[in-house]
Amino acid sequence: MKPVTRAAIATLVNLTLIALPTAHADAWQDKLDQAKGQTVYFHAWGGDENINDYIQWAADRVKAEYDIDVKHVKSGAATAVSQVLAEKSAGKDNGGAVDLIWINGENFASMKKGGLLYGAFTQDLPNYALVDTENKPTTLYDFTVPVDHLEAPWGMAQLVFMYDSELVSQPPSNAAELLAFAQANPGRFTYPAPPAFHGTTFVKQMLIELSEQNAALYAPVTMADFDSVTAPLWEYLDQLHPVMWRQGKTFTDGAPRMKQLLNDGEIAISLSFNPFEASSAIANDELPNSIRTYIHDNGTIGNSHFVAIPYNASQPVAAMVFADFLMSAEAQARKANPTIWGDPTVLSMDKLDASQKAQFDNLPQGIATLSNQELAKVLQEPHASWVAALEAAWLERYGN
Amino acid sequence: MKPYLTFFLKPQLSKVGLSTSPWLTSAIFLLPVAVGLLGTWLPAFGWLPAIDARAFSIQAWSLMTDYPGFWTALKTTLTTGLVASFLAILITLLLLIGLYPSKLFKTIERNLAPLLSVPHAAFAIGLGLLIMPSGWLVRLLAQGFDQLASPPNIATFQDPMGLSLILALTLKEIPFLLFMSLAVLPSLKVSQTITLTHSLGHSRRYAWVWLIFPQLYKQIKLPFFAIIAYSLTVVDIAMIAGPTTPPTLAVMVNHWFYDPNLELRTLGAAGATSLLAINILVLGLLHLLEKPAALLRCHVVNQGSKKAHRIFWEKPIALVSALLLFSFYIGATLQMLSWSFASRWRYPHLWPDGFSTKAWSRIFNRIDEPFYTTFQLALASATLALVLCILMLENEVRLRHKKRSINTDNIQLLIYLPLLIPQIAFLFGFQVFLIQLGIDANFYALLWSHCIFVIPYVFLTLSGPYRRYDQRYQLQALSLSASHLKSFWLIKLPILLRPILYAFATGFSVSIAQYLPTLFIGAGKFSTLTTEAVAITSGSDRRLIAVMALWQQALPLLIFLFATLAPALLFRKRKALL
Repeated sequence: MKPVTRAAIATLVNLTLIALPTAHADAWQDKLDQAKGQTVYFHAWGGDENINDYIQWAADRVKAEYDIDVKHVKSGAATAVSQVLAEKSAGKDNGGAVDLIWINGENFASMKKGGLLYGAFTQDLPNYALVDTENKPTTLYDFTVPVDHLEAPWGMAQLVFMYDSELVSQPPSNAAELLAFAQANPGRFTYPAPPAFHGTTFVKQMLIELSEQNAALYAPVTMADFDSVTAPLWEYLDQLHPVMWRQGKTFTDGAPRMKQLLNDGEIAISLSFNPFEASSAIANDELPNSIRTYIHDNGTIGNSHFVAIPYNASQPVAAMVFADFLMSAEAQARKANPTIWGDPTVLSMDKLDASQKAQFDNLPQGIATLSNQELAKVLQEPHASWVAALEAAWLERYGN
Repeated sequence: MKPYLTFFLKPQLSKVGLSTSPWLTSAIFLLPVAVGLLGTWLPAFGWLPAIDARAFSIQAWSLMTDYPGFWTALKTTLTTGLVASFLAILITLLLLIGLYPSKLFKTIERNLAPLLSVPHAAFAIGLGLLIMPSGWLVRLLAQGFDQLASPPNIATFQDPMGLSLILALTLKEIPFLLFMSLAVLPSLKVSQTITLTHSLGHSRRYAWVWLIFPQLYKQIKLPFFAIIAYSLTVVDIAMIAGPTTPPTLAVMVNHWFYDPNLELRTLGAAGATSLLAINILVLGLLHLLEKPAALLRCHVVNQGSKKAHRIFWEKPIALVSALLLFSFYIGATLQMLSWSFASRWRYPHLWPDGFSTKAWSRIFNRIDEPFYTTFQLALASATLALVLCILMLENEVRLRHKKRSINTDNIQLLIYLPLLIPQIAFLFGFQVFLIQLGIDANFYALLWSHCIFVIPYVFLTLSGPYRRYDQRYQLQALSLSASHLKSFWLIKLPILLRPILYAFATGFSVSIAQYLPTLFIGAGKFSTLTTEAVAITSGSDRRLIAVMALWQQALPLLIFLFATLAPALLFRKRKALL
């Protein structure tokens, strides 16, 4: 090859290398221009005023920066899915009422399966490059279902137990110790009845622990001998229920109710998916400052939560811009602050530049938050198909 | 035909309006009900193309009956719903026998408005804060008993048998039944009847049970049926105060409709259809029992010579019931008020450990838009409903004079359908229909959906007293003024003002309470006090929940106070109208 040609090719390659990100940036700038003046209807659970305030802040920020109006519709993912389903039933394939949904797990799986999602979009969002997909695999697999860029990671969750240190001197460190605690203190522990999210997670957590992380849990449930894999679980729950709150004849309907019971002193141990929740609730006077957090020695189930765009969204581009903002270092750092929300970030500190990183420095931890080392032991969710099977089996046994 | 009656048959401009009113009103319902039912029945039998279900089958039904806890849920639904409804009417009757008419009853009557304005869910939460094992009553006991240093491990709330649900429902329905009875009682000539039966040697109890109550029942039959249907299908109260594993059938249906597994929607549709069938069965049976009851009554009354029972135990029982009723409401409201100003509050403390206005100010920052939307919707739907109902009832008067055999009752029965069908099931079909027409997610569609639930309540509040209006006043007025319009405005309207305002207030508060229609038909684009309250209630912060509940209560309270006080003010010089 002639030197000239080689140089030409090299120039060309260089140009392409320079041009590629620029093309990306141009495409993104086009999106920003397109999104100007649009309104995004963001369907997100509205039960926590801290989170509502945070969403309001984010809405104000994108209004100032990108001239996008974000309206927070305070209903959960289930009603948003219902809305999209009604629109699909009526053949309304564009101009839908939902632009963005706060979602994960089964709702995502079922929207993906039902073709109710917009399509892959996160790869085009500049801030997606900052997400820690390497060390936080749940940003790629939502309850083991491949995310496939259909939803943008928003925050991290891990099952933690909150306990009242005035009533519990030594928190349990595994399933057996939890049972021993309940036997010594009848009525002071309970968990929400599946299919409530936290209840199902507790059951999965116990199953993973008691079956010693049986490999069968990470493959479709149809391939496993369900009865023998789950036998230790039922044996355990049969022992636990009679010494639980109200003899295990009644359960709560979810984690919010458990938090109230913890404050009321009816129970001494509750559970949460947010490692910062206890600290945040203490700061907010919702829980007494004797509340602390613990996890089991072998780790607890962790997952991520996301935002997704329905297939028929009216303003998908503006929704993408908002989703991108939610992944920005600024938004993620603010979200991680327990005095504001306290939701762990999805970003990788290694991918941030100095000024971005600085926003995460000196975030208050709160007195009831475990250290990162303590939280490091994250267990993977069992294969998604286990959820329905476990819920059905649980209801069969205890739901009558 | 009597000659003076021809006067009524004079062609009038308003006639066209009157005669179309039942059809117009029914069309407002017929359409949503029809499409709503279709939207429920098709999925119940396996047709839901949105999830690729396109084969008719009864699979959903067998899956439903095999679902763990289904039969227990069905049993709980029946026992809680029926026991609560019958307790409510029984206690209402006891209150009337024991205390009506009396000064004390006047006091009860005057204080009914605040009771009626308490939102259902808020009342259930407040009741829970009183009676749960860590509730205020146990805290009160804990002040004296060391054994109660920590809350007892017993189920005094959300118990598996549904007793706390029955209590919540009963307490919530009594004021409504009393309110409905009050609109009718003046026309039943209670005092005269009692005096007459006394003179025949019978007791007050006899007069009430065998003479007055049967007439009263006829007038409040529809409200009573609405209560039964409500108690059998209610979701919010049952979620808060009812058992959990399994819950009532309505709550179970609700879960199915919201389950991430979209296939469960066919179960939800089958469950909703079952609830409708249960309603029809129960109400049909009650309707059929009227004949034997009437025969029994004839038999008893004809026997005539029975001696009166001497012990009048109804009065003390009524006193205790009234006291308990008000105590529960005052207690529940006090709990809400205290929590709304609490900073931190733990067991076994009787009062908050500290006070703060933070919850109020946080909510205040974003209450304006929901407040305005709520007010607009309630005002528009209650006014619209009132006008349509009066037109329909006037049309009845016209038909009565024509002695037409057309029975408007049949058309009007359709109006009550939306009250008999669980909202969750019915709304999906209606929503799909509105989307197909391209008119979803706007204010008028939302108003329409509210009217579907507001009109039946306005009609059932108004129709009893309206139909009992003595038409001879009208004849008299006509002979003096020779104007239909004038006699209506100057004579009939003032006489009926109290029931009309009651009906308006009822409609107004029914609109405010609508959650699912606002969410589904509004496609999430309209936030009201109730959608905000439900959102906050799905969280854990009792202080915010309390503030939202009090906000939600404010508007109905004002409007019920207005309905109670306005006639008293307007008619201070026309004593007979009071």
